[in-house]
Amino acid sequence: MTGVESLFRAPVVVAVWGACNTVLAGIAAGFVAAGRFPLAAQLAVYLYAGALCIIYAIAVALWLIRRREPLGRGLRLPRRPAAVLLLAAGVALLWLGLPFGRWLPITAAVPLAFALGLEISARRG
Amino acid sequence: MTAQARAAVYPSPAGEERDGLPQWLLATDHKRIALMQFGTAFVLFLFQGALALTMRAQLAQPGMHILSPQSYLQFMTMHGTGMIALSVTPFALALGVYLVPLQLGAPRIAAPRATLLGYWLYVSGAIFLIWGFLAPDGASDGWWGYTPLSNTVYSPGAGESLWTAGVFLAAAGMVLQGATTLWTILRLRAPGLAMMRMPVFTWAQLVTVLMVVTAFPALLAAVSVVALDRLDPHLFAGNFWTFAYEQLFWFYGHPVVYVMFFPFVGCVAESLATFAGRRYFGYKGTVLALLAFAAGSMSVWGHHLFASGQQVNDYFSLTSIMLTIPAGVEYFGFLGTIIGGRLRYTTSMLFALTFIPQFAIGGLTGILAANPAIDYQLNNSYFILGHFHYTLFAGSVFGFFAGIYLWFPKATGVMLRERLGKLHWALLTVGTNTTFIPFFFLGWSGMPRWMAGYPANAGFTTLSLISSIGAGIIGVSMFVFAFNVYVSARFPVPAGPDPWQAHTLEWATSSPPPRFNFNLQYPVPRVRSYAPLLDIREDARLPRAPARPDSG
Repeated sequence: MTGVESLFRAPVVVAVWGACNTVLAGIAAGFVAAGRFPLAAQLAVYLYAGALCIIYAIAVALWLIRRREPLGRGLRLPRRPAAVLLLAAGVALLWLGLPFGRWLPITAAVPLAFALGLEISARRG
Repeated sequence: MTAQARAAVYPSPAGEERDGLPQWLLATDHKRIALMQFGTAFVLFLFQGALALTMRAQLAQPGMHILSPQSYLQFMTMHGTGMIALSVTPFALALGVYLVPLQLGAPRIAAPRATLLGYWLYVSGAIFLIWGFLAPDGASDGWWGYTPLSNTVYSPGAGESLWTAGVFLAAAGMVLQGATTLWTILRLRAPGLAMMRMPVFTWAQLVTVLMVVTAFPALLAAVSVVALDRLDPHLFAGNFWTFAYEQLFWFYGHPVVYVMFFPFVGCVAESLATFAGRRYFGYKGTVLALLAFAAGSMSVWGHHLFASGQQVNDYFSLTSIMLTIPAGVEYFGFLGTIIGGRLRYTTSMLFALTFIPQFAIGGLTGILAANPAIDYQLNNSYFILGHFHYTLFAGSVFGFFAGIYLWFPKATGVMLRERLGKLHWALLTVGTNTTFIPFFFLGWSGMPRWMAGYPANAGFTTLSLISSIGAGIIGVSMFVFAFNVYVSARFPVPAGPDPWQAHTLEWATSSPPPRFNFNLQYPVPRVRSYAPLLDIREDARLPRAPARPDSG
């Protein structure tokens, strides 16, 4: 690998992107501090700081697992993909409570329980 | 196996997936998930387009009564929400789900079941949104759902609640897909494929999914606020929450514009390099520009709130105008690749070449709107509509079709018809510019958006009619594209692994690729740069060193 290629490793790329955003967030904080803005306008800085936490968490996670085998657990067909469909149906049913009454999310228990059962049976092999 | 090939081979699994409907609906193969998402998003794209045509018919002449004012607002809300949450963002991420593992020489996507869950959450969101639209009291407060307009006092009934649920589910699905694509890029690259050997398209996807995982959670929070507000309208009463909601929403709402843009920049870059027959110009500069562009894109959302009087206008004006610098570097890359190349004017290339000036119009008018003093005048006018339709339709949709015509043979194994493709391109180009150029002049003349009609003496009639005719031409062009897909499926012309003499790894495998992307017949070639297949072709053209006399 060339010098540039070895420099641009995955955790570094993510951290550099985080650093660029940190600079921009810092400038935003400076503007907010220098002016007299309502609390809601200051939210801009807090929101940006929250996003920065996500970026740096990804960079740190990458750095921590950098020596693990990249292809992970090998090539197998994932088991019980039907659990995914049931999980999606369960989450959708949870949201039906908003337009049609607060009792409706209870019905989500059925697909979610089936999804959990499938997942447990898949893990037991 | 050629001399250039390496031993990165992924054998087929013992139980190869079959081709029935259940196998498709529960597919964990990233290619099948992406194709399902393309199909769903394209049907929804046509649906949103039909809504737009209805609205243009309403505005073609003053005093039309196709839609009532309330229905017009419902159509507008569904068109905006649907295009962004159900069509263009899913297109952008589906491109990554399909192509990123292939371009990285990876056998699969990271967490394939999470990717599938993302697709089904997106489908659930689409069902909720369309259900809400068809309800008698459909959401009518715009794709942003501002409070207090979205609470039960001002938007009673199920329509707004279904909108809220639909947006949440669709966005959650996109976050999952963004996360799995991100992890694939960062962790599942083939041996020897360093980050700086990734194609430009994959870099574009990387910055896209970084924005998805960092900005989209703000939308989930914002929509949760709307949901709680609908359960108890007193919970978030007061000016603070109104503006706080706007901050939360636009922290997602502007980055999503770039989520709907960067992947198509990647499509254009790959198309230009392939059909110019040369390496992409200024690769390192483009990579740095993409990273800087994406970082800048996270810091400009506040320009949507210039007119609120509560925003830090100086900062957001500065950052918005600064985006021209990385955008300029990308344009250098585009133009440098074309200049000196042996251009082949395929349909994909025509779409890519048209993207360049059309997106420039969208970008340059954005610089005007990034100036608060000008924005106060332009805000909520048709000028703003013209600006963002030039970025998202004249830009992103053209980049999307550049990608579709480039990769359709890879995904299906058959070629699209070039003549029909060029007819599609010509109609879409004429239709797009006829529709959206009048928006700038209408906005400059003071025509406000969100109006279901206008007085006959307002001076908007001629331009509105021209725009509506253009919208009809866009509609016809979509039928040409659909007919092209039908003809290609009905009378298939086999594509072969690499019909374009392209540069990146996906063209080293069969069309369509096998379950784990590469196999004994099509192994992952050695990767020395971001254009590995071009390297192999260039090596093959080099004169071989003469054999030594003692070599036997």
